[in-house]
Amino acid sequence: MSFPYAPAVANSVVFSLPPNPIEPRSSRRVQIHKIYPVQAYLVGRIHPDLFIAQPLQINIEQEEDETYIVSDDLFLVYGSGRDQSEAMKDYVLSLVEFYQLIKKNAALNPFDNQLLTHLQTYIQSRPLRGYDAIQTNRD
Amino acid sequence: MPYKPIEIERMLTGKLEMVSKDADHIWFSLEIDGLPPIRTKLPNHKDDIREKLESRIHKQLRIRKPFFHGLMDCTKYRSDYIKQIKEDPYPPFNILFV
Repeated sequence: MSFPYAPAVANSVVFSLPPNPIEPRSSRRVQIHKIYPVQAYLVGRIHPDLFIAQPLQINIEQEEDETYIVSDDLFLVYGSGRDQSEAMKDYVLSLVEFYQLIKKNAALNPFDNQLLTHLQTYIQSRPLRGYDAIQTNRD
Repeated sequence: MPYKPIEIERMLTGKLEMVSKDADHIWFSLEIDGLPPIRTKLPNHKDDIREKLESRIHKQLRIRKPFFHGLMDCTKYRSDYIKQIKEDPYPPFNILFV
């Protein structure tokens, strides 16, 4: 499963052109450097039963050893991996686990109950079959 | 010097007496009267925990980097941790309840 996310800011990408005007046009190259941390928004389905109800801002960072960290500043969940895709998958898995932990404990702990209410403004339960059925009816 | 996940796990379960729950990741939790539960997890790999990853872990524990290092290096104890998160959790708990 892949997880859609979009860059939140345009300045995460820098274009640079060699300044030499004599250089033949064909040899010019556009270099793209990503400057970390990059901010992005997580959207869409994250689990067969769960989807993101409103875009959740995430940070993508790179360590010195070139591994990646994806995290959010709202629920303090993180994921890590050898590349961005692996870190994103780990983040989404962690977010789903976090949601399930809070939901399970919400009846026992008033703080978790309050946190669950806040989490559900971002993450909502909607089984895949029902979601597909709604889409089919709309069509 | 970076810590290994196993060293952090020993601190969480040994020193802070956090309870672990298995999922795809192992989550550690600690419930203290009057405070929201503290939850953290460790990465699945066994490599050194680098700076940015470490900062995510001490944020989940609601403490700053020097305090986290104090816990790891045995200059801080469970009682210090509980006092710290009661008096000055960082980031503060209300960040969750905006």
